[in-house]
Amino acid sequence: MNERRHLVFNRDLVLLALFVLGFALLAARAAYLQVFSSADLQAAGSERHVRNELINPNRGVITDRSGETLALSTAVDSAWADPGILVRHPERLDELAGALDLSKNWIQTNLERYASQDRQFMYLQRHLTSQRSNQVTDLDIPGVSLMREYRRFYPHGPITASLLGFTNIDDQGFEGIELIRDAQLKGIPGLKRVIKDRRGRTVESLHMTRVEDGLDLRLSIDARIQQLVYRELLAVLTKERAALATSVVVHIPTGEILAIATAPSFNPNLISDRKVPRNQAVSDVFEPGSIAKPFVVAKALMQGIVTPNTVIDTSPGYMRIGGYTVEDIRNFGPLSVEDILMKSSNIGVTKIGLELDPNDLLKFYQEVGFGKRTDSGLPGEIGGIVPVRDRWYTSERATLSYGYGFAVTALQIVQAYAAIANEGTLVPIVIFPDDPRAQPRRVMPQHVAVEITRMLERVVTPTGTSRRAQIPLYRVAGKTATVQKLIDGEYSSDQHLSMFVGFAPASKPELAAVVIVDDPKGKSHYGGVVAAPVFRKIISSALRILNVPPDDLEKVAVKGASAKEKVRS
Amino acid sequence: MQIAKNLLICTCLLSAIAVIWVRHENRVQIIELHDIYEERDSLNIEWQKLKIELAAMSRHDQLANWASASHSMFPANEHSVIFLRSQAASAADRELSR
Repeated sequence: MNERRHLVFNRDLVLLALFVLGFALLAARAAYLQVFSSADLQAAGSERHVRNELINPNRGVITDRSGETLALSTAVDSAWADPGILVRHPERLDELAGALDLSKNWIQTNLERYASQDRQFMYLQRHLTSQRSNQVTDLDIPGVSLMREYRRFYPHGPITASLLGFTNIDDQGFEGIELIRDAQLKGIPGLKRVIKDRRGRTVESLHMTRVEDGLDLRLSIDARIQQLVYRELLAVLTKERAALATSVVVHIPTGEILAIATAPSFNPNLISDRKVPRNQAVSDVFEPGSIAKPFVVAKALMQGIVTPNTVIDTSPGYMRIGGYTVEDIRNFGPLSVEDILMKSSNIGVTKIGLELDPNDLLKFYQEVGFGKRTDSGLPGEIGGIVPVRDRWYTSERATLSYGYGFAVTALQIVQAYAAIANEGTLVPIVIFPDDPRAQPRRVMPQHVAVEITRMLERVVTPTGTSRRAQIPLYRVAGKTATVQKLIDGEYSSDQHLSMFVGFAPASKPELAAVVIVDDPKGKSHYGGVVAAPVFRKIISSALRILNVPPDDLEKVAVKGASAKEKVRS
Repeated sequence: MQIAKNLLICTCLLSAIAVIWVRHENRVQIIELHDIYEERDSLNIEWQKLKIELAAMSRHDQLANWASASHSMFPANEHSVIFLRSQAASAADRELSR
């Protein structure tokens, strides 16, 4: 019994000794690993460990109305380093610097700084050419990897720059439509948890949230018309040595903007060339001048104050109101209401305007969209000013009728003229055709709009102020304006805005356009000389591109089908 | 009892081998999947580049310049176009003249 106990005791002791030995060995091994070879092990560990990989979404494409690409992101490689790993291979920095076209010093300093801060990510060079990215892959330097990023391309460059804006280097919207529609375009990045082996190959995928690419965005722009508008604006800039030129072309039945451009522009594909895009057609307000006159006449027609044939005496060509003098370019004598518009007589329109209640007139201006942001959805759009107040001086009432004392944007002008063309129904202007739209609304009776259209057509005849806007085969209606620029509260005597706004074909209007040339320094600064020819070139080409049938066939040969019919019968 | 024990050992071994086999198969297929993803991505990239190329080369203004410069083409003007009245329009005209 005793012996047996002894035996048991011995067996316990041996077992205990074995356990102690085992644990001691384990502890020793752990201490050895921790103390002596930790650096090597950490290196091995970081070469084969779990990584979270971000998968960048592909940004949506911006297209024109028919699907032509206006902005597209394409994948490019960016080189990055894990500083902790790369810093242990200084002998390879020379090769790396060569492949990436960087200075070795730059890499080394940054690398050491990042490594000392224990950071695990450092961009080396972003947006590599495919040649350079192949070189980096071939070098196979430990700690250096490529990642997929996206770079935005604008095939139309400066032509669409002020409209689209651009993205930053991370392909996030930074300006223009790219910015205001960023939420739709950008998509949702995916995340991948993976185990990688030492060669950077994924050996196991632990978890994956799918990347969702951005949605495409369609604009109402017609790239062909946009191109020709920009070309003509550049041409007029050079010809008139003007500071700026802006134009908007609108499809009248739908209110869709077919082109909106400002020159000069910049190339968004070159980062060095980029600047804050200003879309002058929506970001600048100015007094519309003579462009407002048809609306004074329309209001007077609506209230029955005048008829198109009412004759108003405009002699002797000037008129004193309060302390101001209203002048015409010459003494036109007695003019019918129709001729007042044709000759753009300030005195004639002032006399009509003084018959109207000023707030009625201003409310009418507001109804046709002046002084109020449109529903276009364009970035950077501002409203302008149409003041309604209780007391008016007679001189102020006069200025209101020939288009001074309130401020509008180019977009508002073209929208209001499109409403005249559309027989008095204002169709809100849009740039995103797939968005919900505001309802069209009637702003003047049909007969008044038809009457104004007929009068505006006479402006574009050999005797009107806008004969240079005539287009062969098409009937054109429109109005010029030449306004003095307001600089620091004073009207400039030598800086003008030359404008033309019109639509065609007048019998069944399809296209409306406004052209504004800012500070032309050529022989003439009149809208009829500077802006009207630009309108003609833009609209005549646009009508041809859109296959709009001509409506002015009186002067050309038309072969009737009647001859054929006779043969048949 | 002995049989049950042996059976358990066998199934344990078998399931161990099966686990190893499944893990291996998993890795192989993950790698294959990634290769396929990469192929898809590179095809996508190529397609994007082709789209950019297409957009740059098919620009209407450039085509128009090219047509006029190297093939002396020009837009038809009002003198070089013959207009044919459609049957409907001439029928309407006859109605009016009656």
